[in-house]
Amino acid sequence: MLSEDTGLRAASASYAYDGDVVVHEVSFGLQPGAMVAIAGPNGSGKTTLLKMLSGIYQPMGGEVYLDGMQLSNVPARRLACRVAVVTRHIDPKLMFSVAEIVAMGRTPYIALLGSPGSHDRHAIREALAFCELEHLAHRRFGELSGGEQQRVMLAMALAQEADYLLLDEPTVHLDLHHQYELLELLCKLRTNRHTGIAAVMHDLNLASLYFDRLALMQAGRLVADADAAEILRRPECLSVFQAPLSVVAHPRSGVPQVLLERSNNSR
Amino acid sequence: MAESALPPAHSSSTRAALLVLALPLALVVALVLATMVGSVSIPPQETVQILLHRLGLPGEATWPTTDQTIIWEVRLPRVIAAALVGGALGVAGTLFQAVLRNPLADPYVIGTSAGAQLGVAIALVLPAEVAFLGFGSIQLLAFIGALATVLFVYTIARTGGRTPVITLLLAGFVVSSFLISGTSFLLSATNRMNQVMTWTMGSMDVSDLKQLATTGPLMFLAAGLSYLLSPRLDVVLLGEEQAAHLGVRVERLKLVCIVLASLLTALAVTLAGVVAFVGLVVPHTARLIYGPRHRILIPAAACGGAVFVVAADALSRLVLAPTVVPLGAVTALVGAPFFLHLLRRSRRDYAV
Repeated sequence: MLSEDTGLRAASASYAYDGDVVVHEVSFGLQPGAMVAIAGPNGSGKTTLLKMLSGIYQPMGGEVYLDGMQLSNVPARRLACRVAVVTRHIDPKLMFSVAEIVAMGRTPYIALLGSPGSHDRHAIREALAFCELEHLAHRRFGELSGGEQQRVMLAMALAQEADYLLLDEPTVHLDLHHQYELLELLCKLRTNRHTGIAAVMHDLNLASLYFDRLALMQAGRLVADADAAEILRRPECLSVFQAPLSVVAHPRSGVPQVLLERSNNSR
Repeated sequence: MAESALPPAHSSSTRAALLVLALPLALVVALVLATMVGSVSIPPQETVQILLHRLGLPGEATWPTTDQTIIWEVRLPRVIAAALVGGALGVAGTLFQAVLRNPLADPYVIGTSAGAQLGVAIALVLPAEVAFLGFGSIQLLAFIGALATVLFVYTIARTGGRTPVITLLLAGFVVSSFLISGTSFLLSATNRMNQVMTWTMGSMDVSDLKQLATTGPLMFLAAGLSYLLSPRLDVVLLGEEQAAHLGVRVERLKLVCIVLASLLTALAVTLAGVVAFVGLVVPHTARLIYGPRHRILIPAAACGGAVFVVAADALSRLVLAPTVVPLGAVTALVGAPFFLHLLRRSRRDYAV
C-alpha cells in the first residue's frame, strides 16, 4: 500500500511573472502508475504548473511535495533520480549521437569524479530498447526527424529511472504515426514500470484516448481534475475552451472525442 | 559515457583513436619545427641533435655551445610558452562557448583578454614596493581583470534568461575597446609607450620566461579541472533547463567554468599579451573533427591551440624576418575571417 504521502503533490501552489498571477492556488497530485493529462486554453498556466512540479520554478505561494518532503529541500541530484522531465526546447542540431544523449540521463547517478557502472550501462541499453532506438544509437541527434528526436528525449528521461515523468506537450509537431508511437510508449511505461506520468496536452482527443485523468486549467486555476471521459462529457468544462464543440463517442473505444463546429458565417 | 553504453562500430573507434593520437604528434612536430626558426641560422639537423642530446640521448656534442644556449635557453622556452598560451586559450574558448551557449564566445571577442591585459598594465605601473611580489601581482591582477570583465559583459548581455549572440558580441566589443584604451593610456602615461603594441597585439617577446615554472602548472591545473567537468558541460548543451532536470546545478557550474576560463585567459595574457581569436578558431575546428563531447574536445582544444599558436609565433618570426610581426596580428589574420564565417552561419541559425 502506498502511504498517504507518496506522490508528487502541489498544495495550493501559486506562481506569478512580474506580478501577473499565472497559477493560482492549484492543488494537484500525481501518484506512481497514474497517467494524467493537463489541459486548458493557451495561457491557462499548464506549463507553469509543470515547472513547479519539476522544481524549476519555486512556488510563490503554497508548496510542492515529493513523498511528503518539500521539493525545495530535495537535493538537485536526488530530485533528478525521482522526477524526469521531457522539455520542448532542445537544440535540434545537436551533434551528439543518440546513445550519448540517452547516456546523459544517467547524469544524476554519477558523481563528479565517477564513471558509469554496469547498472548505468544497463539502464541506457534498456531505455534505447524500450523506445526502439537501438538501430539509431550511433546516428547523430541532429540528423534525426522531429519524431525520432522526441523519442530520444523520452529515452533519456527513461534512462533516469525516475518514478515520475513530466512532459510538456509531447505530441505537438508530431505526425499521427509518431503521436501514436509516443503515446503507446507512455502507456507501456506506466504498465511496465509503474511510472507516474503527467503531460501537458493540447489535443483533448488524445488526452481522452490515452490518459485516465484529466486536469483542466483555466486562467491559472484548476477547474476540474477527474476521470477524463467524465470531464469531457460535462458541457461546463468544455466551455473553458471558448469554442463551439461537439462531443461524440469514439467509434471503437467509446471514449468521448471533441470536435470543433464550424460557424454558419464562414460557410 | 556513450562508448561504454554501446560499443561504437569498429572502424569509427579506430578512426577516433588515430585522430586523438594525431594532435599530440602534431604538437611535437610543431614544437621541433618552431625551434628551428630564429634570427640566428642553426641547421635543422643540428637543432634536432641539440634537442635530443638534452633529452638524454647519447651522442657527441659537435656544435658550438652558443647554438646550444640559443636553442635551449632562448628558442625552446619561447616555443613552450607559445604552446602553453595556445593550449590555455583553446580550453578557455571551449569553456566559454559551452557555458555561455554561444558559438562566438572567445576570450578575445568577449573582452576577457582585454580585462586581463589591463590588469597586467596596472601591475606593471604599480610602485616598486607593491611590485616586490614579482610575478604574483601580475598574474593576480590579470585574473581579477579577466573575471571582472567577463562577469560585467555577461551581465550586460543577458536579457530574460538568454544571452543573444549579437548582444554579447557588442557588449564584448565595447568593453574590450574601453579596456584596451585604458591599457594604452596607462602605459603611455608612465612612459611605457613601446610596450603598448606588444601587450595589445600579442607577442611572445613579452614573456618573462621565469614565469613558465609557475604559469605552466597553474594552466595544467585549470585545464585538468575543466576536463573533470566535461560530462556536465555536455549536459549543459541540452539547454540549461534540461540540464537542471538532470540534477546539474547549472548556475554553479557556469560560475566555476567562467572562473577557470578567466584564469586560463589571464595566465595566457601574462605570457603573451592579447592573442586574438585562438579560443574561437581552435574549439570550432576541433568540434568539426572530434564532435561535441567535451571529454575529447577539451584535450583536443588544448593540443590544437598549442599547435596553432606555436605555428603562428613561428610565422610571426619568419614572414618579415628579421622584423617580427605581432603574434596577435598573425592569429587575427586567420581568426577574423573564420569569425565572420561563423557569424554568418549563426545569423542563419538563430535569426538574430
